[in-house]
Amino acid sequence: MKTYEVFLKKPGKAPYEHAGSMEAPDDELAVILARETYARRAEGEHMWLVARDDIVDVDPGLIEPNTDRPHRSNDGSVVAERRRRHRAATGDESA
Amino acid sequence: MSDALREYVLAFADDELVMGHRHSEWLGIAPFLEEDLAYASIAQDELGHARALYGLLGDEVDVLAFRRPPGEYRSCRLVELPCVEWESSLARHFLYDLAERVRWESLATSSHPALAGIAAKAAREEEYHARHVTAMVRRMLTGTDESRRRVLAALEELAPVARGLFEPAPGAGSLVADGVVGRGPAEEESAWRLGVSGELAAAGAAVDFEGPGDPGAGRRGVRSEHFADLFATMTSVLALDPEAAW
Repeated sequence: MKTYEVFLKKPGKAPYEHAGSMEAPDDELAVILARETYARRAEGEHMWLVARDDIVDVDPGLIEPNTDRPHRSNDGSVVAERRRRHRAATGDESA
Repeated sequence: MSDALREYVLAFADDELVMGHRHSEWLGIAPFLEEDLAYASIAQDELGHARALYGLLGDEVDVLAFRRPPGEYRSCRLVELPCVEWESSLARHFLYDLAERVRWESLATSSHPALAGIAAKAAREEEYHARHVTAMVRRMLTGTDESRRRVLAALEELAPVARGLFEPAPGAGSLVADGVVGRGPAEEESAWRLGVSGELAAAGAAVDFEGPGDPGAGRRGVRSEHFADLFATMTSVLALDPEAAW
């Protein structure tokens, strides 16, 4: 049996979201069984199945934040202020 | 409604009712969770077909489904078998659903509008059932030596029994003449055998349909030795509370 990760997408601009995982013997049966397992009640308009073995799993140590470097934490306020000044100066509302 | 049409609808509905019940027996004990859900869903679909067909015969669907004397049921032997081994249940699901697809196809252009309507809705669900079971059987046939051996043995045992699905109900010929059913049981059986053989051939397998016994006796009211237990379970809620509503 293979483990698959299931992603569902609602209509419109909604992104694909992880719905859960499931087991199936192969891709063909995964598609068939996913319908009953995850999409019986219009949970989504599109579905992706990804074999878990195909996922690149990143070492948590690599993505651990550097707590000793607070300047890397960005709440966006500096850039927002800069965009505000730019709009005021140029009248460019798209900025 | 003519007696012939009533017999035809009863036979189909009783097959669906009993098949749905047998499938539901796997709830919670199918080999893996995802298959468990698929089986339960297919069981519900079959019961839904039974309800729609009984609905053509009158408003008292529950009475038709649960309160007739055993001799008045028309289900065939295949659906009444317990099939307690998984491969056996899967082989029956395969033989049954390929046959069911053929039976709905025969009603697609029925001159009886309500029947044609039920067939159109059922055919869509049936596509899923057939796709599910053919993929699963193919997987078993191309899996391990053991999975191939077990599913083939089950198919060998059940294919002759499954012929009973095409036992004509009394008056079947008149239904074809009136355009209610697109083709008769013999023609349906040929189409079914072709479908089953084709699917098996794709996995380098074959099955012999000929066998002893009278698999269609159920159409004449003869119940198999398994029916009493099945019926007791199926009607157990009703036995506890005859006024129960659901």
